[in-house]
Parts: sequence; structure tokens; C-alpha cells
Amino acid sequence: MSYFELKDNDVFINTIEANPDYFFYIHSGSVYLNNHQHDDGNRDSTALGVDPGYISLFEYNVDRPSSERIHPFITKGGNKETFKAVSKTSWNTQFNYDGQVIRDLITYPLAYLVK
Amino acid sequence: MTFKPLNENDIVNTRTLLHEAIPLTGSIISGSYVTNGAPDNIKYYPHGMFQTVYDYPYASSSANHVFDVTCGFSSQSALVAGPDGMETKKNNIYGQMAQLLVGYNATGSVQLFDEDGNLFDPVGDKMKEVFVVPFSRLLVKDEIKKETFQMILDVDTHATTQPFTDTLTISDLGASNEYRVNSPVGEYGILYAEDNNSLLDLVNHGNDSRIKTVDNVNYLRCGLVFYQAGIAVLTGSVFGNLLTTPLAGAVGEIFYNDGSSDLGIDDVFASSSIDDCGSSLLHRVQNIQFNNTTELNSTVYFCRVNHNEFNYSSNPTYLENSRVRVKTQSTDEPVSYITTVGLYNDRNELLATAKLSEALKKSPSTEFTIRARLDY
Repeated sequence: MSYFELKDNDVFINTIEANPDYFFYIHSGSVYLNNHQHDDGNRDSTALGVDPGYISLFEYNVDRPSSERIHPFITKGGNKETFKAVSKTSWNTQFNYDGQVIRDLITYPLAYLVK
Repeated sequence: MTFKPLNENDIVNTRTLLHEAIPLTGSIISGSYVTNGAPDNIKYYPHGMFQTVYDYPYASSSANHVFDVTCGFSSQSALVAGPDGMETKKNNIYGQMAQLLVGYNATGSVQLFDEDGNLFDPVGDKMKEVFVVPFSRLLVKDEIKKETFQMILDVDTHATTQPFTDTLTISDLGASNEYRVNSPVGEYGILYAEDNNSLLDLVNHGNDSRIKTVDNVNYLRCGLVFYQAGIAVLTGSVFGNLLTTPLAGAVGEIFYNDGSSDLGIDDVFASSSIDDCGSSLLHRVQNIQFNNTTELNSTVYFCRVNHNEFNYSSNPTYLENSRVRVKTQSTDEPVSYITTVGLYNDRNELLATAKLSEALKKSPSTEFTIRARLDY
């Protein structure tokens, strides 16, 4: 494989100054961000899985009942190193592993509210 | 502001595998969002070469792309397309997916999908008619976790009244140790259909290597799953001759009704549009489940704050009338509050800042090690 060394003229550093605009409309105890209307779901009580006024980060679990939600987990050895003396069963018990996945490590949706 | 150089003992790189469980129930895929008989969460295109499934009506900005569905058959297939069968497009789709996922042979020809991944064995185990399901990168992330893929398909005939009475569970059984690496797009595993309820035709496949037996349960090969690419390829035979009662189109063996006639699996591949072909599969998906993997590379900076460091602040508000605000007597201990850690390069340019959730009170009687973790 041939290599090419990047010179000063080959590297361009650009800086962008962004000024995002957010509009909060607060009425009768509810907060609306950027005039986004709350959306009732078909399969869950809310489409984004969060209450009115909350932001659902990533908008990952859309209109999913709590039993069908995408959720994160880690496994023994997930950080590429394990203690040989700690068995998988012991590790799983410690981290509330239910045989398939660890639940409640983090729960999606991650939500945020302006108060 | 006070600086302290980090040495090599203060910096460590780590890698962590994070996973997510992705359940895709049949109710997401079909039936939940229907207006005037048409699904709102499935997008059809004028080119008609594939359709896209979303988890919510796709006109909504909240909808996420879940997967695409298409089908195709090789020009070497015995199928002969009818007048509306889109034969060229189906051949092209098969060819495109095969060249992407299987690659070329020594003569420059596109290789066919192979049931066991051994591309040099006889033509008998080639999959020439396939459904292709490429999953969204949003869901697959870096890759599908091996031996977690599962798809439950309805193999009932439409003559029965209750759907999902007879289902096949398809999974990448044993793929943690038996995955293949001879694909241009990375690693892939073999999909096996479990012989629950004796639906599989083990008699006619009894003498070949398609059967795998684990814990006295028989499995038949029926497709491939490409882990890094996030694509599942399913043979059309899973509704055909792999079954004891193939859905061949006769009375009691109906695979799909396109609104005008009852069709078998071969009829659908040969004569239906690709959209109908995809819809026929979607209506038979009871559940899809897999876990994804994200490899998280992190650098941890151990910012060590010794007892005699960072006890004063250079913040202008730290002084009042040229005197340290928090010292009233000369014997008082100095005190500061650490709120932020800034990481600078060797040219003193600020690269990253880390904010503490609450200020740390620092005095000569305390020491801290603040662990700043940078993920990328």
C-alpha cells in the first residue's frame, strides 16, 4: 500500500458557529418545544413514550408499549476483560441479568423536561 | 485558571461493547397503522424494487426507518416469470445483493447465495429465490450480535382462519462459534428453522446436510444473516419445499392472496410484483428480535488533584477588594470549588470540557481524582 503524507496545504480546519433557535411555549402547566404538538400513539399512550412537554432523546422507541421497547445492556466481557474467578452466573446475578439481557441498566426513552 | 500536565500514567484507552435488544413485533410491521386498507408505516416507491418499513406512519417526523424488504431470484432459477412478474428487476435485485454479500468467483461471475456458506460445494444447496431484509443502521449500529437473531414466521395456509397457528422459529443457531468470514461485507451466520410442531419436511431432507440436531431438536438451514451489513437473506423455500405441506398454491396450500387470486410461494416469486412479494412476507412475520452491538472507544483522563493544588481560584469573583473572599483570617484555609475540567492540547488549545454535576469543595485537607471519560 502506498502512503501519502498530508502537508499543511492539504489540511483545512473549518469552524462553524451554530446558533440553534428554540422556542418554548408554556401554557397551562405544559411546555411545548418548537411548537411541536404532543402526539398520542396507537400502541402506547404517547407516540414518543414521554409525557407532554418532555423531549425524548433519540426518539428511539416510537409508539412502543413498555414491554416492547428497545433497551441497552452489557454482558460479561463486554469491556474485553473479565475476571476468570467471577463466573458468568455470579456476574449475571450481580447485574440483574435475566438470561437474555440486563434490564434497568438504563431505560429508554431518555427524557428531558424544561421547568 | 490553573493547568496541570497529564502524563502517560494519567491516560488510558478502553473499549467497551454495548448492546441493545431490538424487538420488532408483528404489530409494528403490519396491522397497526392502516388507513383505507393501506399501511401508513410502509413506504412503496414508484420503482417498485423494495419497500420500506417504519415504526410509525412515515409522514410523521417521529418515524424511524426499521428495515426494507425485497425479493429476487437468480437467472439460474427454474422460475419463469409471468407477464407482470418483473423478472428483470428480480434478477437484478438478486444479482445486486449477491454481488454485494457473496461476491464474485474466479471467472468474474456473481456467486449465488449458499445455504452453508461453502461456495465450492455442488450447486444443490444454492438459494436461488430469496427474500432480502436489510435492517436500518439505526437499529443494527455496528453489527448484529451473533446468535441473537430470531425471526418467527407464520407458515399457515391462508385457508386456516387463525393466523400464527403454525409458526417457524428461525435463528442463527450456534453462530457465536460457527460464523463464516468469506463474504466481502464481513461475517455472516447461517439461519436455521426449528422443527417445532413437525412442520419441516425432514424426510425429504433427511439424507442431506441441511439438518442440524441440537438437544434432540432438528433444525433445517433456511437463510443467512450478515452481521456487520445487517442484512438477512431468507430462502423462498422456507414457505415451499422445506415444509411438510409446502404452500404451493393449491386449495389448502395458499401462501398469499393478492386480492384477486390465491397464490403459492413460487407463484408469488414468479408472477407477483416485488411489492406484493414483500407484503406477503410482512404479513407472515410474527416477530423479529436481535441484539445489536456498538463498540465504544473511550479515553479516560485521570485528573489528579493533590492536597496542595487547586485550592485557589483565578476567577475574578474569588477576590473582593483585592482580598480572597473566602479567607477572613490569615490562618483560614483557602477553599475553592471545582466545577469544570478542561482538556487542553500541547498548544494550550481547549479541546474538551467536562462539567461536574455539582461543585466539588477543594481545600488543602482534601484530594480528588476526577475521571474524565471521552467517548468516540
